[in-house]
Amino acid sequence: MNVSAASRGYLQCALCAQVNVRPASLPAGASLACARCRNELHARKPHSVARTWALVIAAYGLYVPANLLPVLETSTLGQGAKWDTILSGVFQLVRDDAWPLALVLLVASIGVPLAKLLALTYLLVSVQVGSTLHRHGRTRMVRLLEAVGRWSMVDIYVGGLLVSLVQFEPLVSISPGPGAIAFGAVVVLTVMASRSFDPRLIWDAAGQAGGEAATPAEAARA
Amino acid sequence: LTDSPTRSPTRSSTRSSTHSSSDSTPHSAGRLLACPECDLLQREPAPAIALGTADCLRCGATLLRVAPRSLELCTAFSIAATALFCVGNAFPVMRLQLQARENSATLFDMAAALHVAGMSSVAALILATVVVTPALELAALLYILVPLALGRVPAQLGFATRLLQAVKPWAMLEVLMLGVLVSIGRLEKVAYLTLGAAFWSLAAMMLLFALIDSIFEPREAWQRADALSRRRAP
Repeated sequence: MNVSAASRGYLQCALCAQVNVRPASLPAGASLACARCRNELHARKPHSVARTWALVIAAYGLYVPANLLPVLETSTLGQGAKWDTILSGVFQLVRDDAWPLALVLLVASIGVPLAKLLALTYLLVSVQVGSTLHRHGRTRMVRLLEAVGRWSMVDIYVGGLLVSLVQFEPLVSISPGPGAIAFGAVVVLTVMASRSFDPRLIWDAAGQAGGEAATPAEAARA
Repeated sequence: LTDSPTRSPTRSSTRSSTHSSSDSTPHSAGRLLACPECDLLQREPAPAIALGTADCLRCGATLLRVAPRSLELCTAFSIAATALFCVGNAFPVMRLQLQARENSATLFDMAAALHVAGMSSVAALILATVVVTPALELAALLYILVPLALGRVPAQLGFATRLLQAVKPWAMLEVLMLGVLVSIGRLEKVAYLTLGAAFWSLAAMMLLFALIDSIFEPREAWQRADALSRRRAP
């Protein structure tokens, strides 16, 4: 009943949606281009699990300096310089009674990257152990990750605007701190990680032959 | 490389009536669809949908999106977005005044300020996500859509659709606009703040990009290109 396209030797182009047939004579591992748009076809994203793990681990590593190092330095006349990390920036907004802004930054800058990394870790482990539990939920999770991850960039843009606008030496000026580099890297790595994860792997665990495992012989039989 | 069924003539516009014509081979590739998210093999809905989406039977992912005249609408939106994008790059997003001194920030000023402060990588990230990738996205859209609207097939359609797919996740105008709103909240108490022309044009461009995202389907561009080349070479 539930047949994966790959197990029958069908490869749908990710670009133009053309359904291509993998010739039975084609040796396993040989690459195939879409008949219509010449895009390279893959039954599953190549090395999806290994690539996603690498990006996730790198992002975990950078998440620490991104949150511990200062992202902004505010110099005010008479008060000297004051360094702010992402979290102390959020607290400052709470003290200023700017609750909505504090919430936006807390969710986008601290919550989203961490939630995304934890979710990707769960997805990777569940795929690697061949879990068949909560497949619908996990597929929805992948969709959510792709939609939500980009919003972490908001802190980078706020930093850029503040640094370019608040330059009134010697009264007040703002300059960026090294945490911004680590934070930017975390956002880029998590966006890349959620794109390299292939949700079809979740469904391959059903038991039927899927993905690269589909041999030409199986395709011919179909 | 592959031949026969992939080039089946029954594979035409989802709106056309030839869609339901008989095609008796059990696994003719033309009318089968693979879900991009769970790879379930399924058939296109039998009466071609005229408007709306068809979802995967198993995981609920969107398989097909059909909107009337979507290519024409996207052409118009892309041209309008290009004009807004030029304004958005040339003028300041915001101006800040403090004791008779005024600073303004264009998109390039944001990157330049970070570059001067020694954060070139962050500056590059900002330029890449709000200037370079939206520009590439617009260029690819116009390259695909304008010739198709004039009845020609763009020579590098494959490259253009690949480029479009590659840059799309990195174009983050809507996130930039949220960042501008947060900055307004932070700065309006500090000094006198005014919004520049770029704020309004980038906001409008963001809405156009959302519209384009919701109706543009590369497969429709390919179907239109297929139909055009068939007409030319009978």
